[in-house]
Amino acid sequence: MSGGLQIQNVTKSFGALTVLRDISIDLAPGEFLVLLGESGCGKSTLLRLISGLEEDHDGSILIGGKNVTHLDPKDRNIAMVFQSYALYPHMSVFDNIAFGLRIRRMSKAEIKAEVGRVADVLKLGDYLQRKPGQLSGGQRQRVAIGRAMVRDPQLFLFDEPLSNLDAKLRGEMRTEIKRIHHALNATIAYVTHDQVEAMTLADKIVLLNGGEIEQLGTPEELYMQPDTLFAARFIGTPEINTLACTITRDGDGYMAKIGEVTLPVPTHAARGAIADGTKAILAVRPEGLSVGVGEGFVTTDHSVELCEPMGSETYVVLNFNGEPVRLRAAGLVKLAAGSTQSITWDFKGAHLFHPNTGQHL
Amino acid sequence: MFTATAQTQRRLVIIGFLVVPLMLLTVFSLYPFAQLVWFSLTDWDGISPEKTFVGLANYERIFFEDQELLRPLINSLYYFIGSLMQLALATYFAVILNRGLPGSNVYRMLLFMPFVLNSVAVSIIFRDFLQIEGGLDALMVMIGLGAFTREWVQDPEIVKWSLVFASVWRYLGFQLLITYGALQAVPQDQYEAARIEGASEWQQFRFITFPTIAPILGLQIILSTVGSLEVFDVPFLITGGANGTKTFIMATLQEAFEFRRVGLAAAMAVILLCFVMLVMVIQRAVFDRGGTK
Repeated sequence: MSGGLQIQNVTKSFGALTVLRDISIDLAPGEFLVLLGESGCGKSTLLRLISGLEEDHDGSILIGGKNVTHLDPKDRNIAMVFQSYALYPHMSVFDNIAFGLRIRRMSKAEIKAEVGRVADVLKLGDYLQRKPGQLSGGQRQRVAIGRAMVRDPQLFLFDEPLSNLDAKLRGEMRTEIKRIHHALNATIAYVTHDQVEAMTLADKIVLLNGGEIEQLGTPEELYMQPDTLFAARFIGTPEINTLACTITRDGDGYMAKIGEVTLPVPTHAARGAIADGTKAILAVRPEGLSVGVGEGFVTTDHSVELCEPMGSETYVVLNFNGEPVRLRAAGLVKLAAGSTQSITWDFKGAHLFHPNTGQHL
Repeated sequence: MFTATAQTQRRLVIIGFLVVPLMLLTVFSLYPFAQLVWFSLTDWDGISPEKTFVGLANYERIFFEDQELLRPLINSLYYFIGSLMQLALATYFAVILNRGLPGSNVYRMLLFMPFVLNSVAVSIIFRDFLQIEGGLDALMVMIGLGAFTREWVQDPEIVKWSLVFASVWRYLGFQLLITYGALQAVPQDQYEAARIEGASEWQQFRFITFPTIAPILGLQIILSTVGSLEVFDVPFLITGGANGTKTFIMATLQEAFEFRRVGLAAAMAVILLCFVMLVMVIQRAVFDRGGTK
């Protein structure tokens, strides 16, 4: 296998604590991999193992087809962008970007040309003589990316690069990173806890949970076909609706009994056959629900708990037997709290999960 | 009942807090300083109730007539060179300790300990250590270097370096601690970024560590320059100034209390003060340039 990044059966322990368990990932050249998960799930540790900053693990890591498991960071042909940017405060932007090239004893003219090229791509031309302390957060971030880009590495590593930026800038830099990815056709491994970043940037998402891979797939796969309840809950805003139910067979489909209410669920909500009386978690994305009575769909009545206007849409939370049910209504909708509304259910994208293991049924 | 506005109260508090330190400063620093300058213009012997104003005669004597008086300042050079070596060593140890190797706390304590020890005790230990057939000689014989033993304190060519060595040993820990503190302020991810970019240990020091701690190192050089002008305890206790190891402070004290020439000694003290201030001014100039660069 050539190029890209291969992680094979990597396990990492700190003393008695195993933080990563049997991780295997295969990333093709030019692909954008996002390592997603909550804090403490091991995603940053995995990135540090790839970079070589953290050592002593089981399994092997290949970058660009070369086994780098026992190599120093400098011999892995990688570049890394840190959460804190890790710029050298006493050097100018130019010197920061040129640092790696100087270390590699490139000629002055070449360095100047290379830094100029990167500065053009990142629109840093006007700031080259400034010190990092004189730059805004977004500019510092661009310098950090520039420092990574300039060496033309086999693999880029990003460790939560946007988490120190404000929401607006984060959106802009996200677009920027995507643009750079396409422009350089770079292979990227990117750590984040932000599912929006993961969804928008990734070709492939690895969702980590407690040091193990919860699910590996494209953003669409993770969103549309979550393997576990954790994956279903982690991705999507507002969060997926989950209701504990009992399943019974009913003709071509299933019936999900939730308290006094019975809802018809299509068979494809489960991946296998389900026995009568099975306890399950019914999961429906907020977009499967809408306010009002829909022709040919199931409707139920619930009281409104609150409305969160987002501008282009409104998140509505309703009370379903004491459980919150979230949906999105287009535009600015005002529903009085406590008022009863009819909700239409579309179970096309519904999932059934095991209540204890969280696995897709 | 006395009431005051918030502003008056604030003023009263500020004045209240300032009175004590200002009084102490006046009594123990400013007044003695004025006295010192005044003494330096007289021929006072330190005991007699009379002192005659002699103008700048004491200064004239130091600079033009009795140049033996300034000679001990040359000894300061040895200590200055020693202090530079000491700083290099301290930085070296600090960088190693900053790696967070196992047991580094113990090493830090061991290196710092001499500074906490009483300087009289340290000097007495060193006096015995450096004696002919003393501790150092015994140690050298033990490890097979018996042929290289010297008269560490008696040989006028070596004695100054022996004293410098004792002084370095004693003050190394202090510099180490300051440098170590400065190193702790360098974020680890800068080193990690540099490692990924391929920087060697030396390059990491040269491009990241050194620029960050340079102001602190500069400050330490100034402190050691001042310190080497003012060396007293170690040579006084080990050799008592014999064998050409007299320092300027020792000479000053000798003039004042042995030869009963307080006026002359006061002039020497003022000269030393001027030297120290000159060093400070140079330091300021250098640092301000560095700061705005």
